[in-house]
Amino acid sequence: MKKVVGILGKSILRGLGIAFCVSGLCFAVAHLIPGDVALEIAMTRYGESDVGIIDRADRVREEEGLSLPLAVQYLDWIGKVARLDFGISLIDKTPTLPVVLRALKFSALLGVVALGFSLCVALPVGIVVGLRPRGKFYLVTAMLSSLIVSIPSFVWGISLIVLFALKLKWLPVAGFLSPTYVILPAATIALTLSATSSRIIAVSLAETINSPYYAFARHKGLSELWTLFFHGLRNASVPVVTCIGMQAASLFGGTIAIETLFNWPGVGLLFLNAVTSRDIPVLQTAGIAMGLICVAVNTTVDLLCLVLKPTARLERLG
Amino acid sequence: MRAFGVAICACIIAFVLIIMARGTNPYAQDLMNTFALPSSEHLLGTDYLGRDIAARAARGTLNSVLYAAASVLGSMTLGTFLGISGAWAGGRTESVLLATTDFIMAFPGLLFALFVGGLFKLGAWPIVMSLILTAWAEYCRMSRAIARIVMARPYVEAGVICGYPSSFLIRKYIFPEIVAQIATLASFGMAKSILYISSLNFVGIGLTPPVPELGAMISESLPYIRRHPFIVVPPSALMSLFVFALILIASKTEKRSDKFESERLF
Repeated sequence: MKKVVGILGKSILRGLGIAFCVSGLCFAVAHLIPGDVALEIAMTRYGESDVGIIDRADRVREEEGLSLPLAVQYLDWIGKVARLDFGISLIDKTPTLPVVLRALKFSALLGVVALGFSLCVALPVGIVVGLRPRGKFYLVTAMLSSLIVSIPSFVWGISLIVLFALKLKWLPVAGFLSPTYVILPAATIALTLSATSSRIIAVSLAETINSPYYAFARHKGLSELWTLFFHGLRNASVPVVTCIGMQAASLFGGTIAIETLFNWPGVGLLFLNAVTSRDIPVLQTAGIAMGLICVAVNTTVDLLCLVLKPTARLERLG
Repeated sequence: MRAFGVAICACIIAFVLIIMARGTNPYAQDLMNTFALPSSEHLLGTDYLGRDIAARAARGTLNSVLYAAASVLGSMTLGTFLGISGAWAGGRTESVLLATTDFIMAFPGLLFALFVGGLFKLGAWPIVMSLILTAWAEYCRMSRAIARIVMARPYVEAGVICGYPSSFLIRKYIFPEIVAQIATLASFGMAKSILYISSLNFVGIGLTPPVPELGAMISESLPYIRRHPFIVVPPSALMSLFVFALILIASKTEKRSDKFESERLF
């Protein structure tokens, strides 16, 4: 119990730390970059070749308070965030929080489907391969998963688009109009995810099976299935849970290339667009949201490991 | 396995050198001759502006490798230095260092690179810098852990008692133990950097357009993919083979302790 409180406390601290660092970083970088922020915003808002762009830039500067001292701007922003007011987008003047939440929803949808696909493949493959560590398949799948991981995910995405959307015309190419649109991007992400997670499953299962306690359970006469289910799986699942947790965290923002390729309105694409148009409030909100999700996933994984592995309860809190 | 990886690397280097030696200009456009099929003049055909794909792919590989190598070298040096110094200093310095690495490893490196590279708009060097700033933590943890183990050995203690300067002890006793493990990490790090840099170029962040880069070449050819699907093949194949070779090279030196490093690519 003490351990649980420790983990929760640590993750709350870490969440605050990440939120603080991300916002500070956004702020610092936004004002360090070469070029005039107000001019950039005016150009994105009113078009690049506008005649009165300098005047408009000045007006933007006044409206957004960009001429105030940096410390004032930063403290102002922190004060607003403390009241859960994340500000409005510099570009289209909508509140940033709903925009970010909507993008997070799309990323979550894509991520859940992708993880589902990935586990459908990785669990059976990993278990079958891991049960026979000295078999032929062990090496073959090791090579295969290295090969799959070597090919960048966007190249997989292009290949799937060419095959299933352009040649066979089974699935739509990109965007989001109906649930079928999620299949191709999710399958693309699932491909690389399952390559790594099936390896983890196989390796950790193989390690469990080779351990003395497992051999003892078999020698005392338990059947293979009984040993696997009641002695093996729980121990083997600790690295698997950690790996899947890391994958889940990486799906929020780590799949920018895929979201761009499929024009998927997720948080990666939102972040990319905000970066290219220098929309600092959106960047700050999205950054904080992603940081907090990362912390939440890590905390969940830590707690799950605590449940799965009794010895973890004895270890010193790192 | 490792020999196979080295062989693939050698083939890629040979390809790049041969193409570069032919001296075709990777920037020269020929708008009357777009999407040409492979010929003796254009070994892999031409792209949507009539530029030679082989020359661009060779130059692009060189660019990717250059930037990836720079980021790996930087993070490796920084991480190893901090790791060894942290272990040597001990006490509060060490725990602060560990907490920092803990924090940085939870940080999404790709997003940070996108953020910095996209906002500074100064080509690939901001991306390299941000990759260094997020990747050093792994090297730091690894070298600190090994340094701790080595420092507990009697011969290091004997060295301290003999009054050898710490720089000598670190150089002669600790550093050699770290090299092999760091080489493995660096090989994976290189693979990861290549993938990161080209993903960022794929979404338009990084090198400025006329400069060839593998990820950028792929995204440039996307609008024409319906008619000419094969122009994405050369850059994709080069990048994938290179990354595959690096993973193969690294997996040979893999030890039990870092078995899971190879699975952590994504």
